Amino acid sequence: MKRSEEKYFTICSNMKKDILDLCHRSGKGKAHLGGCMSLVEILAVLYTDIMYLGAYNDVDAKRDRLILSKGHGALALYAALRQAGKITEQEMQLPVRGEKTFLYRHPKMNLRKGIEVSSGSLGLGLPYGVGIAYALKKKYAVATPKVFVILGDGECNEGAVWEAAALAASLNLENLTVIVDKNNLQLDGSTKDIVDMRNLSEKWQSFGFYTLNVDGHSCEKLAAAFHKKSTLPKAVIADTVKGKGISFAENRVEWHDNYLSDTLYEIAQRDIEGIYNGKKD
Amino acid sequence: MEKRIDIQKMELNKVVGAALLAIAEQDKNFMLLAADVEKRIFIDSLLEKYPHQFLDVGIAEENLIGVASGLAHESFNTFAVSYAPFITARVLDDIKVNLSYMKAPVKLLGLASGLTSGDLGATHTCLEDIAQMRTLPYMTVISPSDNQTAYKAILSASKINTPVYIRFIGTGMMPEIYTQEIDYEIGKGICVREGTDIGIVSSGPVLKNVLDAASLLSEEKISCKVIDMHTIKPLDVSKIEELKGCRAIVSVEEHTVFGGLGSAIAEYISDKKDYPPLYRIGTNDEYFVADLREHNLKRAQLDTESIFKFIKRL
Repeated sequence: MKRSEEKYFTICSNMKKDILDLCHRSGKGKAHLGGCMSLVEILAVLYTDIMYLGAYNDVDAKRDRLILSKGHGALALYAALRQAGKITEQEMQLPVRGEKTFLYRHPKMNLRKGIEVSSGSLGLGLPYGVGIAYALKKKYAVATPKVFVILGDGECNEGAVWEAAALAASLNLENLTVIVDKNNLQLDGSTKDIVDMRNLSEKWQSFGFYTLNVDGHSCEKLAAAFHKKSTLPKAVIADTVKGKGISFAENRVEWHDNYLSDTLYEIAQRDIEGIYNGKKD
Repeated sequence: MEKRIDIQKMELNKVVGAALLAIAEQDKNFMLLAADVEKRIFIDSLLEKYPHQFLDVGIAEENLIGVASGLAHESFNTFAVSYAPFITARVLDDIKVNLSYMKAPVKLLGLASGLTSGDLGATHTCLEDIAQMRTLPYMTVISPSDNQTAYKAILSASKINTPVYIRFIGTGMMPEIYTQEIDYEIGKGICVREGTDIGIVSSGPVLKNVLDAASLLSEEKISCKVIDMHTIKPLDVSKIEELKGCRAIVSVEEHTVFGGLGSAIAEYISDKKDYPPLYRIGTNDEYFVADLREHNLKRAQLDTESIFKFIKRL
């Protein structure tokens, strides 16, 4: 299904507004603004173009699954689920903490809402995703549901990621796609400075994945990458910007997680408006 | 169970293999995952008859836990096996997140726990697994004392929809505790010897040493009630309550005294009246020199003679 630029524009715009709102409501508890903004287009394409999710509040056994292994991208996940109709407008107004909500800053597994895993402990999503992909292949030889696992590039420091990658290729899990949100930053600094993983794409390739490099903020290019057929598990290395579109947060390490005050929230809202009008403030 | 005679005469690792085969024969949703150790549990028949129900993930225990959890959440009756230290301490966060927090009903089998493989050095002993698994919500923790209970524990675990950890001590021929067929139920402790003076609570094959010590003690006119507390979590507190009238309770385990069976009992009785003192026998916050299990049991004072002497002095 090819989607127009304008349609994606609207979807992404709505997602960014929701992300900022959730970050703002997180208050001094801090929110992972940087890593959520780098995920917007990736999630927009997957949730509104690529994946079959089943009806609202339904857990369809044959649904495609997205595992947000990079759990701190949770607020972006909820924004995408809202666009996909798995979360309602009212539900998006729920608090970000406490019993009466599910919109936590790290996802808590909730299949009815389309939240497939309780992530936040980095490195654990791909092993789980491999298990799911393998199980689905066993159950459905035809029209096998797909599994998408989103990793951070910093997260690729974790050994468990590579244990799972090796097995995925060994098991020929062609229904598995890994997306690396390669925004080149992690908590303590640039990924290159912390542990230089050299050529990340080559590593996925050498592990047996059909690897594509893509502009992570181009919905069109992401969609094309996801539509490409492969007999191998796929790795989409998405070049992204942490804090994309937010003037004070772009490429800033301190916006891995930080306090989005009222003042900063206003600036951020104008930032995302600014881009939509085709002009920058 | 027409297989009972066979089970009693098998090496423990073969018992594990036989139990897993029995599940595979009845349940087409059964899946066994191993981290490169399947040769150690003699599952040739299983591999031959049900190859699609087995997966080796290689020497990758974090992946073992994650993959097993994915399968379990897709309704496969999933068992994962490795050596006890590698399927507990090594992957504690993976278990916490997947099995405990996300409630994936995976059944973990920890081989060669306790001092079983101490001859290979301390990296191959496991004296902390009960403590670690016990702290996880929704986890059931089992330490069977002989072949019959080991076989039945595995089969029982396959019928419940919550995560389970079973630790197996010994690999070869282990002593028989139950000569008759018994009713085994997870969470129900078994009184294996009636008595009045001392209440001894134990689990695992060290129970044999406890029973032998109890016989020696009876010759000294000390009457011991012995409980096989094969399920440490949830603890069968009704069996602990039966020991109120004793003048002492003694726990005996092939595990550190910090956090295992003895600690579970201590936790239970600590805020209650009418309990006698509890003495915990186990390994004392130490590692052992590379040596055979029987020699290290002696070093740990878990042999029959040491248990007898300890209780006699009470």
